[in-house]
Amino acid sequence: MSEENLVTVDKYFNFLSEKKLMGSKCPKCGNIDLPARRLCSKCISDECEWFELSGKGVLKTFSSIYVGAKAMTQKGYNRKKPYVFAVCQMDEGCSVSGQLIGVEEDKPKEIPFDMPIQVVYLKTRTGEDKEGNPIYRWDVGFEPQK
Amino acid sequence: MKKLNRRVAIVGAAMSKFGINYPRLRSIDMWQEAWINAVKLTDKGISPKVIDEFFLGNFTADLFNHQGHMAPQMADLVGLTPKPASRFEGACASSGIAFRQGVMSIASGVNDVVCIGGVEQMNELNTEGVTGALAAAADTTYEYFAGATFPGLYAAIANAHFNKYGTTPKDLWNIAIKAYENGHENPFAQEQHTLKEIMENKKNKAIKRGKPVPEWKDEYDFLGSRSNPMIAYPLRLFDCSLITDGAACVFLASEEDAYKYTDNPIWVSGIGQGSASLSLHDRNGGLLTGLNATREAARQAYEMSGLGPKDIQIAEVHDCFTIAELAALEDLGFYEPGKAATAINNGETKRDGIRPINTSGGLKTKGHPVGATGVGQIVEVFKQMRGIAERNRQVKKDIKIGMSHNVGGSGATVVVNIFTKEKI
Ligand SMILES: [Zn+2]
Repeated sequence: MSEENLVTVDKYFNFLSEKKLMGSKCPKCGNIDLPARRLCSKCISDECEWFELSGKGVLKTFSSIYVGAKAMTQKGYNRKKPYVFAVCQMDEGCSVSGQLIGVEEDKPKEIPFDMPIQVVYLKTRTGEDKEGNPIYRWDVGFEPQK
Repeated sequence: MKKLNRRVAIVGAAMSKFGINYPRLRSIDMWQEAWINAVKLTDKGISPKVIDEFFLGNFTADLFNHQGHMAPQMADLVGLTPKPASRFEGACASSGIAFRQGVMSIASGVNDVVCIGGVEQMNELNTEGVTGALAAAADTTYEYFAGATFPGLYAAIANAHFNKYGTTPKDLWNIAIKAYENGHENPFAQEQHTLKEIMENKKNKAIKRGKPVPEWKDEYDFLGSRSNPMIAYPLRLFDCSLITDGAACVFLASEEDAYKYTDNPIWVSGIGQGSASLSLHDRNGGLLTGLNATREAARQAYEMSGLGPKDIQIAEVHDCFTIAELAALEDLGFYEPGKAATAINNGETKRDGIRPINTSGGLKTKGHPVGATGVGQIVEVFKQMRGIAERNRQVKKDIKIGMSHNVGGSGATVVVNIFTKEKI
């Protein structure tokens, strides 16, 4: 595998910033991992290649969080305005965590398990560079399928 | 799982008072208190001279107190230098791991007598700071920016359990109510009030301040009210364990040496440790209603001891949240998945039940000084098996077989130990 195509965390996040959901696919056993891994999580083959996912899946579990992580309280979430942390399984079989948006966060009982979701790309300001320009990171998020 | 090459016994064990001890007491003070108490509970006494090695559990004094390199610091305070002193880290299972390493060091023949410590001083930071430090036990790369918090991860497990088995908030509150009943009987616990007393105190405060006095029919009514705010649905404040400062200490000896220190050694008959991915989403196969690492650690401990879940008479399980106790009872094999709630409702896990769970009050009321928790649990099992648990919490029947279960983070590290009075 060339250095250019090597599966790394930095490249995974760079793809997210381009709004591309890139996992890794194992040519030996066909397993797909998300987030992408250099070694296949099933057979530990080291030949995994980048693989673009459909971005569609289902909601496996979640929590409406009222006392949030700092990264979220900085975005304005609080006791009166909770956010949803979710684990979703993609149609390709792999699972990933993300914020679930487009639902009534304060009515968790009404958010259905196994609801079809699609991936969205969420931006967080994490600091600024030497020139004072904002630095962002991009993360996987989910919303109900339309 | 092979048996230990030679047998290992607990000859003494004790803890400091758990609580909001900082700034009155710091790690240095609490560790010395735990050591002094453990020497007192070693029947024939013990001296640092006979101890071959020191194993310390501490999660993150680095973040809580800007203190790394803690093992020699603690060893020096109790006369253990220049013996080997090492710190072990596995989040809230740190001292559980340290204990297992100490057991194996004696079983291997390298050591004859060792000391295991656990210490954590958390209240130096405010709640936001503590939450941030604890978040380091989850996956910073992929989970944190998804909004995961420590309660949030367990809440996601609880929600999955509710969805699959029909578990309810009331099922979890039964666990909390029991924890307060037991903590009331433990002079070393952080929270020694019963829930009824806490409700009375809240009423009295309201009267004093001239505010409307809340009326609750019973504990359930209180736990379902606004006085018990939602933290991460479905977990509320009273589903969560405490932020605690504390230390705990255990002395272990080989079968040849044990009787020098006591006529009644408690044998370590099974040990197990399991692991899982740090992030919940990577637990492939998707066991979201419990912890695979608990199942693996328990499998090892059962196999080593030749015992099964039915043999365990008492257990301290890792109840960092009420749902964690419920899931542990199922993952340890005491009940089928989805069946623990009914057993809890029937009182089976109370002090007078068929298998008392967390007689100490558990992490919920005894407190959860994360790096000291694993050894703190062993202290309670030791006391119950010796028949010396304080106040009214000593279980009436003779406990011949006990267990401790210690979890790191949201279940990526788990340690399970089985203790017996007989050398089996
Ligand atoms: Zn593979």
